[in-house]
Amino acid sequence: MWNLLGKKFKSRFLLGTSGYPSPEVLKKSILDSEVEIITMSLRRSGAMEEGAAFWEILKELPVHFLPNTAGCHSIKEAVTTAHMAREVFNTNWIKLEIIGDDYNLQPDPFALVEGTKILLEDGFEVFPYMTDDLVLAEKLVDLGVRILMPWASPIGSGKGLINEYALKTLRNRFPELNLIIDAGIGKPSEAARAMEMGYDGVLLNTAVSQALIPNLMAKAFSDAIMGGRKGFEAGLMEERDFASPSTPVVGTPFWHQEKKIETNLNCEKKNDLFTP
Amino acid sequence: MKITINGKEKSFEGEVDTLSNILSLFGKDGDYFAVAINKGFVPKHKYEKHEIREGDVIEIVTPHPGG
Repeated sequence: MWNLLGKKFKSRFLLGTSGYPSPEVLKKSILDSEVEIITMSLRRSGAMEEGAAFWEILKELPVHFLPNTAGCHSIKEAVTTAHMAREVFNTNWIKLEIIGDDYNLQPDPFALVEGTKILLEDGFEVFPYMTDDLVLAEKLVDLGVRILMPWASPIGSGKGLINEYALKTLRNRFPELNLIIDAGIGKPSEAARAMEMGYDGVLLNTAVSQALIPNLMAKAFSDAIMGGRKGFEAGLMEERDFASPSTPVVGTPFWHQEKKIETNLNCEKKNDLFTP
Repeated sequence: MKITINGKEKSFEGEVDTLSNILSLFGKDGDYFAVAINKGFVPKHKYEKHEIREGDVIEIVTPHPGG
């Protein structure tokens, strides 16, 4: 079981709820993959008719909501959105997302630190959506966050783990902290790779919602994340630059006979040369 | 009184009204919405007494899918 902020979860897969073909497909994706944490947003009432239909289905599911501050570009907007989310979703969890660049949706690290400070003081559990920058991570940890959510690559890009070195560095530097990869994962194998590196969870959305069969892809990610975690817990072997036989050499039938036969044949040939 | 609700300008009679009354005009009740006025959060227990004034910008939000 995964202990996340005092709650126990079987699944280490956090699923985004945006961009699905229908509420029914989203529901099936959640149920088939057995995810227990899903992300949600707040938008203007009536802005999207389908938003209400999604909520009617999602609020009945046995999942924990992780509301986000997606779309916020300032600390003020993000903090206000977090407070509204706490009231609506009845949780003090908040995925703090303050965008610093509209081209690659890179989070603003300076606003993130300032916003995190305010929200921690207001009693929130902050899930900071961040780049993989080590110094930024240290600043956030110094403030008291118990979770870090570095991106694998930009949101919705599907580029996978573009900087494994930085992600490994974070894992090594904060062995006790819950580290969750958030954004950029495109394939189940990439999610498995993150888990093999010792990450505690993976949050993704687009790779599932845009799949040809979203619920099947959700299950594929669920299996990959579970497999990667088991691999990490089991202890991965060290990579080597040379081959090493996996089957024991001792007792190999015909052991060295091929060489002896070759030697004997060579001797016979040599003898033939000297025979008049 | 002119105010802005979710990006649209609206006109109401009188100079001051409570947030509670304004929301009732929109049929908003229950738990699944939240309100910010002039970018500041207003918790539910303050709706009755919170006064809406000329030029206020109100955001009413509800749960939506998100990543």
